[in-house]
Amino acid sequence: MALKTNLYDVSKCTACRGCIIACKDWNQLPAVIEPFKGNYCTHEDTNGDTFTIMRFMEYEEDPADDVKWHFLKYQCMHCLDPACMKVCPRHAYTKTDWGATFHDPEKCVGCQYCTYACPFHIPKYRKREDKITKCTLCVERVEAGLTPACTRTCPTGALSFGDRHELLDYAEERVKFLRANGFPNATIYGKLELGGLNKLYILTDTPDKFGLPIDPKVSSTIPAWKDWIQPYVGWLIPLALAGSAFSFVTTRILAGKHEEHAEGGHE
Amino acid sequence: MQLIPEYREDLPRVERFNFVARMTHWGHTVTFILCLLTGLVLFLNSGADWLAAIFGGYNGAGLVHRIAAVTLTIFLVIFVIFDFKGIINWVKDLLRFGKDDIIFVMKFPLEFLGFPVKMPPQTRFNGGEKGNSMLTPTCVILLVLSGYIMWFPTIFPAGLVRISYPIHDIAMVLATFMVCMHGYLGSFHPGSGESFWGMWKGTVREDWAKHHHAIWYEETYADKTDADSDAE
Amino acid sequence: MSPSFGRGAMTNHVVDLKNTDYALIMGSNAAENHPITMKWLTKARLERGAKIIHVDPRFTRTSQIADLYAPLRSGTDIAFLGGMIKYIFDNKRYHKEYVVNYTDASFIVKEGFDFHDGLFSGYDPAKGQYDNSSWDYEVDAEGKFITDPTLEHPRCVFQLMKKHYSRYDIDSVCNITGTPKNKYLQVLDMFTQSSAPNKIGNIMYAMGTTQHTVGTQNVRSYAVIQLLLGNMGRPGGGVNALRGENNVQGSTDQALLFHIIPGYITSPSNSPAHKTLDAFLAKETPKTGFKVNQPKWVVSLLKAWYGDAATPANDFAYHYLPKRDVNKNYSHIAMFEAMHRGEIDGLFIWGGNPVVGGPHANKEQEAMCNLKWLVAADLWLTESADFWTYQAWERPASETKVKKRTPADIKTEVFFLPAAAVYEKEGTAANTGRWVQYRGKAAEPVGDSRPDLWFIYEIGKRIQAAYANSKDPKDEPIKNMTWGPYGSDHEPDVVEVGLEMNGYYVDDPRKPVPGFPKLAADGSTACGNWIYCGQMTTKANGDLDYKPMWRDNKDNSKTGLGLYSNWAWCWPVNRRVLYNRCSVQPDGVTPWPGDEKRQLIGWALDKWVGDDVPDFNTSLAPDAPGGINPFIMRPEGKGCLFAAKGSTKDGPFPEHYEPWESPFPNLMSKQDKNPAVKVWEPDKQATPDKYPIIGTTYRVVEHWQTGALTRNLPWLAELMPDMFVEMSEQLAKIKGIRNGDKVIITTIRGDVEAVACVTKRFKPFVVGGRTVHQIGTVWHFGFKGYAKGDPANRLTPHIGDANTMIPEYKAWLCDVRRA
Repeated sequence: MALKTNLYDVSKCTACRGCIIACKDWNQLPAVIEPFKGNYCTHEDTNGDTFTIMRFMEYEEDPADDVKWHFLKYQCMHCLDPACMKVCPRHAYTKTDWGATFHDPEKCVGCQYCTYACPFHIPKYRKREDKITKCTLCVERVEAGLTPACTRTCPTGALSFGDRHELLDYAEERVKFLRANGFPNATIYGKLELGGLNKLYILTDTPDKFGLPIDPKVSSTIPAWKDWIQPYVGWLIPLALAGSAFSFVTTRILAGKHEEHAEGGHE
Repeated sequence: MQLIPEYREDLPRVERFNFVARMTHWGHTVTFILCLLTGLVLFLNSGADWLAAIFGGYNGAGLVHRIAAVTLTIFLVIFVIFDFKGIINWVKDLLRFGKDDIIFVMKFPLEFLGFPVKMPPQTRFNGGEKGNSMLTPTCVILLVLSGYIMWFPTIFPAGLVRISYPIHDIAMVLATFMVCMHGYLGSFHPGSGESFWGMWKGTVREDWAKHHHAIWYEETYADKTDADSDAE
Repeated sequence: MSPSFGRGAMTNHVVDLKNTDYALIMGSNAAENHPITMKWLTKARLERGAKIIHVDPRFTRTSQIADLYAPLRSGTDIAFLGGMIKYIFDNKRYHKEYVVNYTDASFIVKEGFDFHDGLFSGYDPAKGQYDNSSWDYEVDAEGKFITDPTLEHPRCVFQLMKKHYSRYDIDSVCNITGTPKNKYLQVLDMFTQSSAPNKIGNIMYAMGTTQHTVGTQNVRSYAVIQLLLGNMGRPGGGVNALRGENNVQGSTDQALLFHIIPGYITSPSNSPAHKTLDAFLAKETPKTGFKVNQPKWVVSLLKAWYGDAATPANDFAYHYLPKRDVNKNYSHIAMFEAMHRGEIDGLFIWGGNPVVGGPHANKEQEAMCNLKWLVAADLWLTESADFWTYQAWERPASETKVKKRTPADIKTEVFFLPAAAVYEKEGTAANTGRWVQYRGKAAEPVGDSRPDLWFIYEIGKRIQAAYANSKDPKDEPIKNMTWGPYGSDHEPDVVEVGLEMNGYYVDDPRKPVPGFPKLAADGSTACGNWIYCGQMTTKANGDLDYKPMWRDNKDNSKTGLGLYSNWAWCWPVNRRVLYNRCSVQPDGVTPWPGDEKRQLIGWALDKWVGDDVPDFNTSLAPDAPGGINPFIMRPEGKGCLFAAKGSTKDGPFPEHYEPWESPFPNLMSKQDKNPAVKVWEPDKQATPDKYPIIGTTYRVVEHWQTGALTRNLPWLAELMPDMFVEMSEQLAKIKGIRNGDKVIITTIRGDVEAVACVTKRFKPFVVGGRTVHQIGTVWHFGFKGYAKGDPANRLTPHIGDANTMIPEYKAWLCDVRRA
């Protein structure tokens, strides 16, 4: 099945944050009211009850020119090769055939390995249930033929949902247009990053201006751990057990032959 | 066939481990094994559902793991507080690692399999035990530290949390390897099985001590017995 | 806008924004407060390459979306726009043919009109008012306007205007507004390019424009510019008032104002000229323009209100109508001033919240203590319903400006009507683009809450019952008032109310009047609101067909203009773009060069046809008299660059005056403040030595108005949990304030506490060579709900615009310090 994905075009986003409310509404997430700390974004990060946030970043290159106020919807990127899925010891993560990284709370034991494996630090721990939560790409909506709740509510069309190939084609065109129209650094995010994300961004400037890693990487400890340490190093334990068993037998066989080696414990 | 050497009260015995050392040893044994079994549940990537089922499922296993881990930590603290002198002596003994220990370790595989080997005289802990004494506590301390970091990840830097996962696993594997060997040698192995009683009852047969830990015996009991006999 | 075009409504509609080439957003943070407009503007940008220009004191979410942003100091819009008018004249950036044919530019103004040093002719300093009789056109013996199509006559509107704005050169303007010169020039150049016949620009504004002592004149400036650029009455153009609330348009249509009765008809007063119906109609009905039909509307209205009691013999019960005191002002500020003096006993607050939203909220809260009774209808207990609680009188520690009260001091009896939420009732709302849209009921009301309509209906019924046996003639208006039943007597039916609003034939009350041209002055029709006439029709089976319920989601425009004429219904008679006669050249056939796709109507041999409903006499040929008079609601028939007598109180041309509280004298003339405003509290005018910082208030997208609705919703409270104040990094440095600190904002009227949001998006202004700082606060907060904070309106002044009395929320003086 073709990959289906969200495209988020920041050049059209007005940061109305309707997507956050739509997300909370659809997923029935309670409010997490924290004090205003001087930024419109009252969430420092996603949390167990907030799957998507809107970042507001002020940026000024030249004081004589306009300040830039970058908005960025931030949520699970649904990586095509997700690190969360790799590290999850409970196989709570699955990849749907159309590209959503789905997390099954039934299986989750709240170990939070995924949180720290994720290059975007997205899966979040929900204490009251001892479970991890994150954006589901509205799996149940999409599989019922609808678009994700955030996309459905977006008034400016900054969010769209559809076939990843088609959206990529559109994004290429759009970035070309933006580059020619006052945004020389416009770029697509999510096409190649981490081998492809199943969330695409059209950015009007370089990703770092939006607080996104330019070249996101899964920490090298993750493959070392999951690909080498767990599968191979663990064999030392059966080895010890087998050796002991072998010794248990040989010592007792050999004991008969070397009676003269009288040691403590032997008659 | 005999599993463990018989406990011989009729023969003269010397004290090898005091009460605190023994209590914390066995405390650690129980909690470590609990942690191990419950931890394997995840280490095996949910490949052993039956193991989790013993603890009432994965969440139960997690709970047992945490309780056991805290208890293990408490034993660690008790050991440090109540037998600080013992630790110092232990460390001192480890620092005596030398030529004899290396020879012991090199010859050990034969001993392990039951061939008769002439070992150089050993201090309180022989070369192999010294290795175990260095590796296992290091691994346990790493397990404890990385474990708490994983338990409360939000208060630690993300990089530290991330590195804790493989560390916890490596330390677990090494510790378990050592524990298996230690457990076997310290009980079922005909040569060193007597040391089981050293940790269980606190005393070992004097002749065994002389044979296996000649230097220790000399330093600790030889003068004393001489003095005793003098007094007699 | 009424003085310029004849109607005071958004000329185009929201979907139409997609047809624009240049959008000037000024005095509005549309992305924040009208998010849906951005849907269509971004579409215009994507599909037409439209440019969005944003002019605002602060870099906002709208600025980020805009192609060009220019800052200006709060309250200097007219200077900014005056400079644009001069630029248009200097660079011949006006749309000549449009200006000559569709505006009053060629009209000759009477001798005697003058302007000198900030004052127009006819000012009476003692009264603080203008006698505007000299602001008039010259007419010939037949009463026809004398014109000069060459626009050369020294007293023609065009030349007078050119002269008036000659003082607004770029340097003077930037010196007043604090706008960087390069930015200003870019704005001027970009927006005035819409004067090309094939380019159309629109102006979108909101409360940032109107909430000034010169609010009306700010809007007039837009109107003038749009007329000069030829952007009125065309798709993608217009002067678009973005309404602050989803049904504000509806509320003014239904005359929730003191100076009008439904359908924007002047409300009768006790002046001798309004003594009888005939006198009233003679006085208020112009001789020319479409408004000559006013008697039909008034009589039909009286028939709708008083039914059989309204007969030709008794002047259709005109004497029943309450007459306002012609010398009295009944606006919000005036009402609370009177309440403060103890002149008002009772108050109904219906979905309002003056303790949070009223200007000088401290005073309004104090005023409410003088009430004997208060009825508040809302979803939750609002701050105003709970104005008597301890919480209400808690102030920041330093507050000494208000006498502290306790519930024991306050004798007001408060009644609370639990209102049903919008999804718990059916009804219609008129959106900013005049679309009257029906909304069904999605859920049952919670508990014992009821729709507003039910409350009103029941109150009316019970009042009538209370007076049923009265013999007193003065109680007749109540006894004889038509009051339903609307459908079942138990639950009023909105369609039945819609029918009364639409109008019906008195001899056949189930037969809707098809449109206001069919209304009659002889009492044969009854109509509750003539502009809504035509919203009701009958289906083939004879049932009523309520057009606001129409949901045909297909664009009926052949050229893709997004008219959606069969989606809901809009007044007047479903015209989606007002003054659409302007979308075609004067000959009525030729589209504007290069703009064939945006012609809305055209003359087809004997009548006007087109995708939109012609805003014109459909049978009036282009070459007939008045055939090129697109602004049918104006007596002139033209778009008015010059606001002739009576249409404004403070001048026929917009002129820059400083806000009532300003750190600067007027650099344009000796007249600092708008001379025609009524000053209520002369002692509460701050001086810049004590209060050197300019303050303004605004909204955020996460909350709605006084927040009564949104601050009680946890999810929205989560997004904007606290009252905050935005300030520049420079000001924060001077005051030792860090981002996130608690600060106290203080004005002569009150203090509030807020969290500092130190931002690069606010910059100090350089005005008259001096640096001045501006701060901005959000006014959504109050002491109830999940998100709490001090109401920003404790800071704002009790003064309003000269014409509309809308309070000057947007520019006042304050100081700020760390809490």
